[in-house]
Amino acid sequence: MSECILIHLKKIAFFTTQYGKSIQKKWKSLLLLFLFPIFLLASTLGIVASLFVPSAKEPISVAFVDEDQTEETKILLEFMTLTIDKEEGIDIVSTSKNTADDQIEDNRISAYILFPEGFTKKLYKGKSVSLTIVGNPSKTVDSFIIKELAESMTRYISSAQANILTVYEYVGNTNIPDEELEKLLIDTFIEFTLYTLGSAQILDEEEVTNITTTSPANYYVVAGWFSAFTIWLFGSYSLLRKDTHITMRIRWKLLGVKHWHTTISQIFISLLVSIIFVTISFIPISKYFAVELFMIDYFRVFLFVLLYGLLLLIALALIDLWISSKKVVLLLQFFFIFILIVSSGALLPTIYFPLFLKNVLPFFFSFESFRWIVEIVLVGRNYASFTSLGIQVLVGLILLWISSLWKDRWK
Amino acid sequence: MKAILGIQAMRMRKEWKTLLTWLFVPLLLTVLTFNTLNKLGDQSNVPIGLVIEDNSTLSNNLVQKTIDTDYLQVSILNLPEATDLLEKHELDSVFVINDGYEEDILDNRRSQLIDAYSSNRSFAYFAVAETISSYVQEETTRAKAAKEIKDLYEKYDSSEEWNREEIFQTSREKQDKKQLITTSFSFQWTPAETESETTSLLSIWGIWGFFQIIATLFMFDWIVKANNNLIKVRWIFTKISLNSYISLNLLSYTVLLSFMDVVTIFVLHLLDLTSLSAQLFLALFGFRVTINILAVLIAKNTTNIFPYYISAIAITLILTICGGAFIPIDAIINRWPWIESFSPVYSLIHSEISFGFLGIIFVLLILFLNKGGNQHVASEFTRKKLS
Repeated sequence: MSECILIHLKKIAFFTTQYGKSIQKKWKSLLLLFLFPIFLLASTLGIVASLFVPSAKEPISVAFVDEDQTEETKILLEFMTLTIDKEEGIDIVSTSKNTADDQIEDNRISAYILFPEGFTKKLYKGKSVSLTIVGNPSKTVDSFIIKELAESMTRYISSAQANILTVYEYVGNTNIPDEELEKLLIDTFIEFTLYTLGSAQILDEEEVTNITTTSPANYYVVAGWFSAFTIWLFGSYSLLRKDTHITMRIRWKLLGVKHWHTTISQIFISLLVSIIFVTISFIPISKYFAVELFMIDYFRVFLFVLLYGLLLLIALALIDLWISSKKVVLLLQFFFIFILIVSSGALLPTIYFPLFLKNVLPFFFSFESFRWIVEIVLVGRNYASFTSLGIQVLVGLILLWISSLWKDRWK
Repeated sequence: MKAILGIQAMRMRKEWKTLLTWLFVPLLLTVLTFNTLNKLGDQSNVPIGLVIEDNSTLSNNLVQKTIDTDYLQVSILNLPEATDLLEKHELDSVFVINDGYEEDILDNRRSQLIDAYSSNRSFAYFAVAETISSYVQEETTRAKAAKEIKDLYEKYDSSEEWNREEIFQTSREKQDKKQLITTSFSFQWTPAETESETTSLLSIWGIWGFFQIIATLFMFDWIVKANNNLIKVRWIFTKISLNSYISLNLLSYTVLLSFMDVVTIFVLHLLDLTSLSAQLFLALFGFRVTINILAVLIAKNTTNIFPYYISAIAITLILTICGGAFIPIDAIINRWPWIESFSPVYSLIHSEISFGFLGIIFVLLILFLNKGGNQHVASEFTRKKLS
């Protein structure tokens, strides 16, 4: 029995050294692989940063197009201009529709808001009116900001309007003279609009920052590191891929080489490569944290990284065993990697996910691994449980073994 | 050309199912991804904590309204619990309905009715705060209307009795009965019928571009197979040289895929996901030519199939992310407008052609196809013999 195990181990050791040699030959690709996720994350970061930075320098310009041209719309536009002034990075001009169209084409404004003819009249009569917002297709983000802003404005105005109509209805029952009623209408309109637009003081705002190490910057540094690790695992696993010809497989079979010998060796080497990468990249990261990591913490993080990597590679190997078309395998593995990164919460924290997704998240090992890593590295938590991930690794290995036996026997 | 078509016909007899799948996969995945992402975006959900210190009708109204808001997942807690969860980032933000909330509103005081707590990672705080203060605002405006009516009643001595509850009721009814002001949003030059439904930050062409680049690069693996070291030797003695085989096949693939692109445009138009325009057809054709040439360039320089597939995925990711398919890069383009002509995906999204990129890879294509052209016996040998 023990001799039998020794033979198996010998075979695995042989293939491991083979894979090790082949990856050493590919050092150029390895270097590229190391740099690729860093480049990808850096450019994503650059793009995201570009969305927030320029608004401070260059305000978003919006045009108001007033086709109604009544006293009320003029006042309304003035109030809106006052509330959304330059402090919020928005610049407002009033023009005609044609100029606004031209200005969008010249890329000078991000959007315009059109007040249609008969706007005031309809408001007074309680008929529904529609504000048209036209966005600039080459400034999508700015356009959407304007859209949100206009929507919240109209929400306020429409609540004011319901009350204006209420006042109008009740006062109409009294013996008020007609001219005074007309005047009252304009007065209440102005008063209520002013009142609703100046609603900033309702909330008393406070920011809770006890655990400063969990700031978005730190969170995304760890998230980027985790995503890079995921990409490295996939990359190094794929680099080791060999197009073993069927005749070679048959010869191996005669020597007693099973699928799982090669698979285990492949997993081992790609895990080794990725862990070396991840350790190198962790050195600069660990220097920038206020949380003090003790030896035991390093050990815990390492263990989570190891379990996560192992699970991911087992899953990739399973896809390899089950499906024969190479292109489909690669595509599926790629989607799988993408799902793992998203479900871990590395792109968007998981608390913002739709409810039904939140309920299935515990079944994703990426979610659990990333949560623990964040808890240990950022929050400084002094406890960790490996049971669940350990069991999953065990189940994965058994599944891998059964699948490889199936592949050997029937394929 | 006849010979090429003959070879392709031979291949097709065996591989037509695979080819057909790869032709349709990008379209299918695009529609699927676009719809799922939009749906998920609509259902995204923000967990907030609500602390109720005031027990009254108006505060109950506010609580009910907040719970009924689709995108909020409200848990009612006490303050220490709530701030604790907020610090752990399990809640986005916490709102406290202060004691005396109803009294303040009825007395027309509206400052600091609600305490709002956020953390340094409250990504949705602004939206939630905006929503909740608009709910409070409704109540305060109603109270103001009631007071206004009371004043007017006194001024013009109304025969009717002033009744606050009744006024509140009328105002609520008026607001519920109809959406009094609505907004409609569209981008310039998009037809009105495709308004609200499809205006999303995600661009359908960005997603399509992503899947299309992967699929096209995967489909061009025939070059890698023909370029294999074992087979390469044989090309020296064939009637057609490897380079003319590649260029003629590139032509036939471009025709086939362009036809598929036209089908894609019409299908997406039928699904109301895009609008037809001559510019779009042109842009798509430009994109198609660009990607096909790119595929030839990469495939011609690879001799092994797996590295080719891996680099295909890597290149797709770089082109799409840096082309703004997922996160808009308008701000970057505004600063450096020349990038536009070097990013095929960005150009595709904006119905334009990136001539800079196309020019470079076209020159490279010519260079590469001429480089290895001499390793061919038939080109000189047969001609001499025949003449």
